[in-house]
Amino acid sequence: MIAPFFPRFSRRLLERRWITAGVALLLLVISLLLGWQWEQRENANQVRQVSVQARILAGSVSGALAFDDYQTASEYLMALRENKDIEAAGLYRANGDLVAGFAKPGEQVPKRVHRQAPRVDGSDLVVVEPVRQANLELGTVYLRSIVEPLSARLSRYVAIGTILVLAALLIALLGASNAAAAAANRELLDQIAAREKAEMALRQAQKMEALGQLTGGVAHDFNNLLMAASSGLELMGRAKDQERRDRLAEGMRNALDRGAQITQQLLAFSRRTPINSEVLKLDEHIDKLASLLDHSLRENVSVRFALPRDLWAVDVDASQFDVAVLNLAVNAKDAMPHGGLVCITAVNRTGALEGRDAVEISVQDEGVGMDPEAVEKAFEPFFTTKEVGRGTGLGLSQVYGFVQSAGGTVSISSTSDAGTTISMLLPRSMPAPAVDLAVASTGHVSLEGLRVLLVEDDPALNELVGQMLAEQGTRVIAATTAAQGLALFEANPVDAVLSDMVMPGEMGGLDLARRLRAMRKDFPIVLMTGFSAAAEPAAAEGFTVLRKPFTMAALANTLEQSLRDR
Amino acid sequence: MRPCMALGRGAFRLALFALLGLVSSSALAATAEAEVKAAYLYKLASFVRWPSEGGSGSPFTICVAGRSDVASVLGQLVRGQQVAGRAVAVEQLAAAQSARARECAVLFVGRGAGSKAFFSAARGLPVLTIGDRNNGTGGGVVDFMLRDGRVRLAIDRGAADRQHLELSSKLLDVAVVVTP
Repeated sequence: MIAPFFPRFSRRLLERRWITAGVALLLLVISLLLGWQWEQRENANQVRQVSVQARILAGSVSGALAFDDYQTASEYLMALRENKDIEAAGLYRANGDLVAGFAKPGEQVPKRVHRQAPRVDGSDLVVVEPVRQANLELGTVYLRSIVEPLSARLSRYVAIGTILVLAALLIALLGASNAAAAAANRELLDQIAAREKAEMALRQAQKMEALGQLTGGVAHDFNNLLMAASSGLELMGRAKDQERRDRLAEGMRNALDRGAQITQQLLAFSRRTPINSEVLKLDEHIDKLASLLDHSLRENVSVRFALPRDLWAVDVDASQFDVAVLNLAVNAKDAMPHGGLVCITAVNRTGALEGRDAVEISVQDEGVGMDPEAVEKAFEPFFTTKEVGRGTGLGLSQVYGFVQSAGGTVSISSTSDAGTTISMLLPRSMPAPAVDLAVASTGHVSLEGLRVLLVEDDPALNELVGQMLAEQGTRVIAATTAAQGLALFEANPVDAVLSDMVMPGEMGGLDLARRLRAMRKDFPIVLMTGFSAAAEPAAAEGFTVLRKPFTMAALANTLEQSLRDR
Repeated sequence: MRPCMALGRGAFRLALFALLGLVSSSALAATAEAEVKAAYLYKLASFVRWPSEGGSGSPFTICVAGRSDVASVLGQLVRGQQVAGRAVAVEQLAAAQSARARECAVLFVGRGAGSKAFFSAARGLPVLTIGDRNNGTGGGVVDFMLRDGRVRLAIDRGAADRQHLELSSKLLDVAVVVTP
């Protein structure tokens, strides 16, 4: 833990300018202090050395000085001349008179000396030592020795001093640059944060704009189909002959289908469609799609498929996939008013989807292309470049919703006048494709005489679905709450349960289904819902989910399916 | 670096040294002779070790015989001084007082024929005997003698041994004559 701690610590240290400056300064101060201390010690050492010499001399000459033997005294004194560091030396009697002495050229022996502590006089060290014999004070010895001049000492320290200063400078520079980098980094982070905030605000604004468009569009479309339905009903009341009634009923049916389609697409866009995902072999599936495409597109537009046989399977809702491809193909066709080629290609992409394998399905046209602004808004609901009446603006948003719910991504690459390519990346299905279910589903199960427990809180729907079930020849036991349903289930023999999911009370449809399954494993249960957020967990737990609104045929099929799966 | 290093050792050796071998201008005048000897008598005590320093209560007595002038100068010189923690006293001895010699720490016989009597009285005792060869009173452990107009010392180490005295080598250093 120490090893990574140190670099982190030092980095943090270096990021603070004043700390670095402090460290550099501290280093300098410490080295100066050490140098000064060393100097002091060296000086003291020199003082001691010269003092010792002076004391030796004083001890040697005491006899000569006592008995005025100046020749002997001089001999002792002159012996010091061998020492090159001695600049001048003198011997004085007790009364201070000079007895003997010598000096190098340019130096002088003082005529008289006074007792004093060793002192540094310029570049010289002066030591005055008394000459004593027993208690008797006989005179004084004077020594003047060279101490290393300051300049010489400084030059001696210049090398190490330079290194020190350079090191300190280096630290300071490093710290400064690091601090600058850190500051720049902080500023950058601030800017990024600010930009992210702005982008988020922009996205929110765009979302609101889209929401406005969405509600406007939905209101408009629904208004139209409500108009169709209400006027149809009104006309139906007046119509006398059956043929006209049938036509009106057909018209109203179409309007309602369109309404259902719009809500499907809206739900797909909001990713709330329960995913009826299945493992899809795209190459086989797109082949089936080909005839549909041929019918949908104009004669002057041809479709070419490029699908390798070894294409991976994907996990998607097949009908949603069809709609998405259809939407893309229609868009491609519309982009080519004078005809052209639509190319639908699929290719395996290893690790393309955040490291996961994916299949890329691209729809390419040779059309007019899109400008960048259109590319940016292409996936928004009700955004359309087509003239009024030709497009709903929901096509690409359906594609977006489909790809999102499948866990993939979609991208547009387009250049003006050079065509558009829209690519969907769909995650590869991991389990092997199941064997053809058609074989298993061949057996027909009759609903005739089946006892079905219907749980639905909405009285109107309860009544309607009850009638639908009765139409299938089943015997219906109706409940309006989950609790009531549970009680009825326990009290009556029941073959299947059809329950709404979102209901008032402590127990919802899913809770009921869980209780029932706990009591009777593999008991056929079908859950109904129009609110797909509730459908996802139910589907995840393996319950059959019937999406509202549903037709009688869908109800029958689902019920049959659940009975077969038992 | 000292600039002189550039000159090299030879040049350095050739460099002139001012030698101030000052000879004291106080070349001994006749009147100064007594002062010098008095001073030497006092100083000599510092270069000699007595076997037992004796009680600190008794004074350190310097006896002077035959030189009242020296004795009086010495008396002034040692006033208030101490040797080995003992107050210094000067005692002038008359020729007949040779028996007093044994009481002295230092015995100087400066003149007169009775020096033998003084020295033999002190023989074998820790008494630093001092004679003066120029005045015919040689034969002490230390003798004064004149050489080149200066008072010099002659030392008899045998005599010092006999008196049980230990002489400083520095004293031997400055002696002009040393008798083993």
